[in-house]
Amino acid sequence: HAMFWSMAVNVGLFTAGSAWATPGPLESRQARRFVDVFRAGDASEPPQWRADTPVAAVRALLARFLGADRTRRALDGHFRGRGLDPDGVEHGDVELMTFAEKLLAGSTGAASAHVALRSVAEEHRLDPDEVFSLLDETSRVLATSRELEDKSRQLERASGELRRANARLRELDRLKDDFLATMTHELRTPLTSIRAFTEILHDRPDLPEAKRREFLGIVLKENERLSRLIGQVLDLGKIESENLADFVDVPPGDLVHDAAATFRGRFESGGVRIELDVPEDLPALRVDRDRVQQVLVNLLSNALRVLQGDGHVRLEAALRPPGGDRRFVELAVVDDGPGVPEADRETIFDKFRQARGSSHGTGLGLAICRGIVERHGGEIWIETSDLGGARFAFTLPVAESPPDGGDPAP
Amino acid sequence: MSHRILIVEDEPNIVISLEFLLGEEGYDVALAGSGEEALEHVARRRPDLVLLDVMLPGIDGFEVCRRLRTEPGAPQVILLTARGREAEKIMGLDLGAACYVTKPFSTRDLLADIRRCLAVESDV
Repeated sequence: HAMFWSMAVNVGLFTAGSAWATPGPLESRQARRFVDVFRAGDASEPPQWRADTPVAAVRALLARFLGADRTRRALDGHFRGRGLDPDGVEHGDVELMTFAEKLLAGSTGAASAHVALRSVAEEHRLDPDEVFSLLDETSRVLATSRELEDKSRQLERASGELRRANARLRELDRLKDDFLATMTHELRTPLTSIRAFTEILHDRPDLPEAKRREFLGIVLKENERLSRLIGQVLDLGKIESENLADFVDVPPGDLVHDAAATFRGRFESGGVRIELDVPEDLPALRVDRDRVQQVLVNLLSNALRVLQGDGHVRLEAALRPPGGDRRFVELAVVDDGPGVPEADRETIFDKFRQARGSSHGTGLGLAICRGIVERHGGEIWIETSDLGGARFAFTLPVAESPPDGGDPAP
Repeated sequence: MSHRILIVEDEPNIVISLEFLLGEEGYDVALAGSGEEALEHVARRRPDLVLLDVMLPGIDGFEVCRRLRTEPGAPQVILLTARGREAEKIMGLDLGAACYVTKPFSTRDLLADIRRCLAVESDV
């Protein structure tokens, strides 16, 4: 807005300057025209082009706005159309000036074209109408320029968003490449053992029976490992891309008891004690029951593995202190095994990030757990347990409580 | 005197298969489960050939190969890898490996590669 008024004042000053700086007869003519403005009907006097304007001057003016080439083409066309030799005309006539004005109006606006041509034709006069027209044009140009500025700011924002999206896509692409490279490695490793032992068995029919059985056992085990890996990759894909099954309301106690029952035989036969710490009055959870069962089973089998047949496991459930709008129940599998080093606690849930050398797992179990918990809107983490080992904990949302006059939000 | 070969590999079942195959051929076989162990073993025992897995815990196979090959009188190195991208193969050979074997490998081809490497070694 301020810019508009500053332009307006400038144009005004220029008008006044050109009017009063011009000496003698022109000055008086200007003065007359200013007075004439206030007489109705007199302002629409048609422009009178003098027929003696040098063509070179018109050409130079047009060239400033249209470029030399376009000007030459246009003027040549104009003269030829009238049967004139373009190079033979020295002074423009009314027809030329009208043509030039139209041509120029396309680039500068009609009022500016008119004034500019007049100044070339040495009829350097500005009347108030022309000034107002110039102001109109200027304000339109300013409005357009403001619009363009807005548009360019919008474009800037959009391009920032695109840049961020692009960076995110690149990161995803890199993760996908990493995943594929690791996947390739994880698939080829068991295949290597299978191929080597199959060839050994195939090429040596006289292998002692004990060796034969040992090698066949390895082939079978590596086969199982491969199947398990493929199963888990498919599982992970499903968890990441598909919707979870129907959510049902389940008391946390049921989930914990079911998981413990699955394992009780295996734990106790191996000398591992398992205990439950689950209050009776916990609210029901809204979950995909089979998937949550899978999380508990994965965590329990990890615990069973690290304890190697001797130790103590506790399954816990507790209401999380109300920190937000939704309430959660925290479930945890606690053991007194060797624990997980601080440095590995962030990455242990990533795909294939298991400590190498622990060739039992596929490196996908915890990634699957995290996927399932996050699809429920919960979190999963690991901390040091009060038993000295690891505590794998995760949260799941409580089912919507029935509208029985619950307390208002704090 | 039989050639000494060091197997550097952290997959137990692959180690068992390589140990069996090389032992059957009459080589003197030693094992290392990490890059650090491999470097230490080579400095002490001077094997003729190192069968080196690329994906090792700690120092990886490429780095072990680079360090081994800069020493005078370095052993021949055969790189074993389950990754097997062309760029990695070129990198391995640039680092001075005699050959680059992709897992899963043919046991017969691997034994032939080992014989070839050791023959080159004896000619020098």
